[in-house]
Amino acid sequence: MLPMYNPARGLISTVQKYSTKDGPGIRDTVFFKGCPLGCLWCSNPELIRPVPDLLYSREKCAHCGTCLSACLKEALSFDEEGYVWVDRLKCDGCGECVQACPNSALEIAGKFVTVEEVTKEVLKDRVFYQTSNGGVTFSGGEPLWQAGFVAQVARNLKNEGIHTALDTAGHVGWCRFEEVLPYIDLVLYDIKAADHNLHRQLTGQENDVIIMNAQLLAQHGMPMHVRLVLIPGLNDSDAEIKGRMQIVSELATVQQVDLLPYHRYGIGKYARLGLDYPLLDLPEYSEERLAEIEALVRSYGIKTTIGG
Amino acid sequence: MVTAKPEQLSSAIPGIENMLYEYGGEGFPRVRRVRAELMAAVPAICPERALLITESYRETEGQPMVLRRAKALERILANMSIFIEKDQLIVGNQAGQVRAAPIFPEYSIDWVIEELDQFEKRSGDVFTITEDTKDKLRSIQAFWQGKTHQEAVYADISDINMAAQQQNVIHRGGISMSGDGHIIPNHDKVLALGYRGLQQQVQENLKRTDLNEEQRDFYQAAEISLGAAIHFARRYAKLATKLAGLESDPQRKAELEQIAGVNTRIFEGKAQTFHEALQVVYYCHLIMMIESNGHSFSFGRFDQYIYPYYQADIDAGRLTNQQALELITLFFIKLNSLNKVRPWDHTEFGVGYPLYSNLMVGGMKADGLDGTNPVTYLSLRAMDLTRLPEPNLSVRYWAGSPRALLNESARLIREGFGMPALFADETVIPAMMSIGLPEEVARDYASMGCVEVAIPGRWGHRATGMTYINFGKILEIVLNNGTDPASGIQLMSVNGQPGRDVHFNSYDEVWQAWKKFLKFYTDLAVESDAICDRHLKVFDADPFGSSLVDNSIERGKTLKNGGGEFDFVSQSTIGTSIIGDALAVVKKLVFEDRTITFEQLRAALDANWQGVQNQKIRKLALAVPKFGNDEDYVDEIVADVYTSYLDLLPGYHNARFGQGPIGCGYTMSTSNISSYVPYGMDVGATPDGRYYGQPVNEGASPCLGADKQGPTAVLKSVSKLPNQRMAGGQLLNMKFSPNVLKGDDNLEKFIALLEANRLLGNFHIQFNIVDSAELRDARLHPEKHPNLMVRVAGYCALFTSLIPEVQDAIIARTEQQGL
Repeated sequence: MLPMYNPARGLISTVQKYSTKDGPGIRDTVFFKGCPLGCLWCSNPELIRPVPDLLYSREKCAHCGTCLSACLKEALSFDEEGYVWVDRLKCDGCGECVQACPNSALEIAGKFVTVEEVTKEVLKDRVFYQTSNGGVTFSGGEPLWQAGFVAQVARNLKNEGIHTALDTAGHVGWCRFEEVLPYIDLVLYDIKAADHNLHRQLTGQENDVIIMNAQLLAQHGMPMHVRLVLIPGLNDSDAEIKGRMQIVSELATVQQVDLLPYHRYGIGKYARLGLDYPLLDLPEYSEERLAEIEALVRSYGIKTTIGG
Repeated sequence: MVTAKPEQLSSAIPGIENMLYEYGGEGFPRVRRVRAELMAAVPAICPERALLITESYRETEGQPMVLRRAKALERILANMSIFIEKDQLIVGNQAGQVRAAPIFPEYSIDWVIEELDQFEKRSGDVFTITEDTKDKLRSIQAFWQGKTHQEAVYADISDINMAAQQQNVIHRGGISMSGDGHIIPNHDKVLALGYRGLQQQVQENLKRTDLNEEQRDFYQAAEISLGAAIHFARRYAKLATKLAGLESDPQRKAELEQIAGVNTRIFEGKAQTFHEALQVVYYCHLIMMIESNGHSFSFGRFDQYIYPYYQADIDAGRLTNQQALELITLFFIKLNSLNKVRPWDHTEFGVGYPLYSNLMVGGMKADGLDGTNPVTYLSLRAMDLTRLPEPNLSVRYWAGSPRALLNESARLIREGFGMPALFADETVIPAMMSIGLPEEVARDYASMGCVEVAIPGRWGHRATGMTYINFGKILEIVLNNGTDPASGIQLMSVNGQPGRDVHFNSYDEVWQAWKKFLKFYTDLAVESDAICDRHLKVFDADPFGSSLVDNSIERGKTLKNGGGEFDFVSQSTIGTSIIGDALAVVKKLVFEDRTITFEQLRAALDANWQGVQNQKIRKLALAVPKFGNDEDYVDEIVADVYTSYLDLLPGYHNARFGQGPIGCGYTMSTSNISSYVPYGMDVGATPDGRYYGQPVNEGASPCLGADKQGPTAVLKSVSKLPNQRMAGGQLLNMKFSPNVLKGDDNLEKFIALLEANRLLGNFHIQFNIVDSAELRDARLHPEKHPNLMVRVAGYCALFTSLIPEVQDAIIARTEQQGL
């Protein structure tokens, strides 16, 4: 599915207020929808597809069928167990069924917004940015798939003197960075694996573009926080951590490394999207293991946090 | 004493670089023992005071009431049993044992007799009572028939006012059947002069030849009361001397001798030591609570008036910071040995044995400079060691506050027991100026009780909490053409017709009806205040308490007769946010979008939203913006609701108008203790989507669970209210998950949130830092959570002492997460 974005119209899921993990201070984080990667552990699976998605909560459903009759696209039907099945090729996210459902079992992830709407929304929290040295973070999904839109919002914010951060996985053409960088103060940059085969297994894409873009960011003098997602048994071997830290240590503008340990908060969303969760049996980290990894990362002499 | 390592200390604390104690630490062994012993005592009912005052009143029949009350106080203080708690350094008991509640038959006795067998069986605020006590209390009931405050008030209430109470719109609370309380003494003056100095002023006045009868009676009564208070302290001196003679442990013997020394010289002029100063402050509080059974007797700006006594002892080498911290903590714990028993239907309005003894630290001084000092910080640490409902600790902060004050406050808040509450000077001071106080006077404000503010030592009674007004019920009545669906009572109508049928053609018609009904019921509430005041003036005549406040001695008047230098009252307005949310639904769905008709909406409310069609309407209603999400559409309507009440206030005066005090007008307050829960039980389904019987909103906080955009949006919404006109106090309660404050980085962000709150112009903020899961567990297994303390409203209480409905309301508050 190719994203067909209009720079005057953004597709976001939410503006998350009082974000405390997405850069310095208190922040509003704008979550953009659409992502070129398909990470096995993705905790925001509703942000992967570049179109609005219908979420369905089985536990709230009364099986009344109201949504089926409300849907003009004939995208909904009952499965053999009496639950609603969503034909995602037919569903265009119009939301008629959401309105009709008496039990609030349906919701839409993804709404189209204008530059002015997003700007206005995040400016509401200006006083909190001031007292905390915070600001606004563009995240996702992959915000750079909507670089034109991000650039316009970020420009508005720079005009207001507000700190801006871009949280990206970097798997986009450099031209997209060039579009937004004049208005960005800090880049939060994901490096998910050092080994490019491993990277492909875990995310569906190789990491060469990602590493190259990281180097270009450093050459442009862009301050960066590199974020290392840690998935037990998948990308947390000593060799893999060292490999990623090797890449990081060659980036002159990295101020901080944030370790993002695997968690399962997103698991419920898979069910609501009608998807299977790929890492069903993976345990979360013990504090001891996390401390070992943290010690290894710290040995590179860069400020390190857990969770950002 | 467990000492903290330097790296654990939150920050350099000016003046107490050698601070030894860190939050959440083990504390002093003595403090732990005293606290444990106190908490092991089960609250009981004590008959002593009731019997003594009955004896005294029998002898003084026919005399002026103020004199009768002074003589009764004298009788009580001279004859009540006294004791000194093991390991305590602060002395003075209110009843025959710690945490026991005395009875005040002169205010009301019938409910006591009716509930004698129920005190032990309550679902919250339980009191044990012996058969002997029951018999003693029954034996005096006959004497009091026709002689109590309650009977005088009820004989005086108009039928229409009583009907409004039956509609559950207005509630007279304690003021119709107990004393008023709400006094902050002029501690500076009492500490400097002692009761002896005050008594001498009274005696000078008694020599005047121009006195009228009221003044002569007052001065005589004040002379007796102050003398009785001095004698009371001497009783403790003698007891301590006796106990010292019997004591074998040399350390305790020395302490008892120290107690004897303090209590022998106390009140004869200026307090000589820090220990004596604390004992003075405690006695003022204690004796006021023996004189009258009001509550919210408060401490004002504790760090400001205590500091000179602290510093003098430090400079003289008589006191270490460690000793100062221990003494303040013992004083704090001691406050929890006092108690008050209320009738069951009042208990619901303020559960958790609350006394609302507010103690305030920090903030700007009258001269415009910052007043933070070492006692400010010691008080925060002492509260951590105390972890009990009293005192109700509040911190004032402003642009000039040291960063350390915010840091220390945030660290104490993080401990998760609801204190301190924070007041922003930049909003409260203008609010006090909005009612005409000069700026340098307004700068000296302190909280009295919960969030209501007053000028310490200069204020007549009752900053807030006169008659309670249930806004939720008023709206229900408006939507039913003036009829209360529950009682069927109709006192006026929207359309001039009897019955509940009504039609509105525009939102403006609804709004005009709201304003008309709000005025109607506020008039009744003001009348209700006047009736209660008329009788409190007689039955709550308090020559002791009044002597501690300016300008009672100068004027020769009790506070209730107009002795206060300033005198403003407020009612308690309950449900401002829910009215705004409800009106927003009416405005948007019925008159703007025209999605539903008014009749459909009302039918859905009548059905309590039951039925498929009504559930659809409820869903539409829930989708309309709600207060607490930084949505101008509804926030402005909520602000309108405030303004509709504020604009009525200049038309009202209280009973002291023209009697001497400055002001004597009304202010607005959203300080409403736990009343939002029982009041909600009376209100039918409301257009915002709320079901019948659910709580209305608390204070200025959003409706339970309505705020979905996080804490910044809540603070923004509240900032759009007319906070600078809320001279009676504005209450905002928030609940955070503990992880939001974990670690230094998160604490910094929390402090930034507090700073933003101040810059936004909000009045007050307080927190519960607790997992909902823990609260739910404590609801099921109270025995596992004996020390879990929470913010109820403007006060804190042990969670397990609350009635189940209030526990549920606290659990239902939105828990803010950091993401």
